[in-house]
Amino acid sequence: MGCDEVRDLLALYAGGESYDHERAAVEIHVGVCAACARELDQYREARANLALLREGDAPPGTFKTIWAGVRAERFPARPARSPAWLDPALRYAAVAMVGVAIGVVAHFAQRKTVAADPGYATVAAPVLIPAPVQPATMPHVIVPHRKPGAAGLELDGTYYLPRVESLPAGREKDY
Amino acid sequence: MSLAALAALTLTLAAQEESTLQKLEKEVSAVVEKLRCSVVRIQADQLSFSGVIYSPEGYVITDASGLDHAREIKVSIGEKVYVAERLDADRRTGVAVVKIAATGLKPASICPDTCRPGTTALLVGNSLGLPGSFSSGTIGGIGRSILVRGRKYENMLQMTGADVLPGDCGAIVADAAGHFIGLVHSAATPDPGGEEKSSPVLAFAVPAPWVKFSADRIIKNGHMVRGWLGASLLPLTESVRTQLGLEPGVGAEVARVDRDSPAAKAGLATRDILVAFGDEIVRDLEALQWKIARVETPTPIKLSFLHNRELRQVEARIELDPQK
Repeated sequence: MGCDEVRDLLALYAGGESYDHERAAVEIHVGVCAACARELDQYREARANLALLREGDAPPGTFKTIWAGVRAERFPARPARSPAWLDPALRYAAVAMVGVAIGVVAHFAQRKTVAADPGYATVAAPVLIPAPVQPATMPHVIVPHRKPGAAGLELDGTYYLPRVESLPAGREKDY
Repeated sequence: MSLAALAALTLTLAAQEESTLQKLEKEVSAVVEKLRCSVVRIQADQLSFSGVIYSPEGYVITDASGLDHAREIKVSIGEKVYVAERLDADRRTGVAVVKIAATGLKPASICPDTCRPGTTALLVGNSLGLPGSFSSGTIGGIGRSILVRGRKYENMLQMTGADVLPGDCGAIVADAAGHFIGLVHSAATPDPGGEEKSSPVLAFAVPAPWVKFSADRIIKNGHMVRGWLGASLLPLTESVRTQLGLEPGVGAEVARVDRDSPAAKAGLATRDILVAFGDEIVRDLEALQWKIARVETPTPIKLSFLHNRELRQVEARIELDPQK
């Protein structure tokens, strides 16, 4: 689940209004995404402050009404418990992915044919990589540079150093 | 005094006068030489990393994740190679203990306290397989939480400036006096491309008190034993404390309760405010973490907490951490 989808669920999660599968998805995501974890902290604090109003001046039921309205506001037309495979958008996405996969296979098959032609020389175009992405996408283990055929460092094994995937922003600790 | 004798005396005095930098170099070299005697190379199947001699009886501490699923573990000390027996690991700290049949070992001197930010960090490991590689930096932060291979680690030391390279996992981090202050755990880099071009910019180490706790428990029991409540706690903000009528510094919010945990069985729920643990008011969360971790046998404890601003007291049972 991506950040956009999780952000829709954070308010529900903080208010204890999320379903089990939503709760699980949020917990997995905030474990690896510092930005969403920070946002969840802010919801929690807002929720904690709101909770203090329950026995205050507001008429009975005000607090519950506020939180009960969160799901309706966040997902106005979406049935909450409909199975994911019934979602038409997902079905279209699946068809589109099959199409893309066929295209990729066809593309590489064509490249092989060209590379086999000895009269052809290709030059790799520069690849533009977007700005750094979430640390969660980092590889799990850092391995030293090993370029086959490159002059220089020759290593005789795999040297181990785990890579930090995320720096959780939340201040909670496990007991 | 003859002129020749005076010249000789002048030369001798000049030779004896060392600059501050030279003195510093000598002192650092002496500390590094001492540390090198306590650092070993670990070979777990194909993976190669570092470890530290913990006791003269042959106990060696290292990183737990590197030993996962290893069929054969070898420990190299200088030219000698020993086959090691894996005792156990503490999944919460990431510290593992292996044992080798060796004599004349020189264990590291463990600093009993958590170091402070700004402490000099001298690191000796096996960078890219080069034994006794030395690098230095600074402790840039303490009490950090990190996520590594899907698992959360807490209370970590953050190191800046030291070159922590592959092979340095399990290396020693020492202060300027040569006392062990941490065990290298992992490294972070901002570049997701990772393997080809980035160097780690921050490294993390398990602080000495937690290393000692895990190692002592594993050596004493043959496996890891620590207490477990099964809840995550969050410090309260002062504004929330004020509105709840709590004294400054008192209480902690329950952020999460593990399913089937002692906390869940006691009825603790998310957003409750824990105010007392046993007879003690909850103020210092680090002290509470230690208190729970030190439990060696299932122990009943009275918990006092606010649930919807209503004070409740329940009997909980601190159980042993299942180490999942």
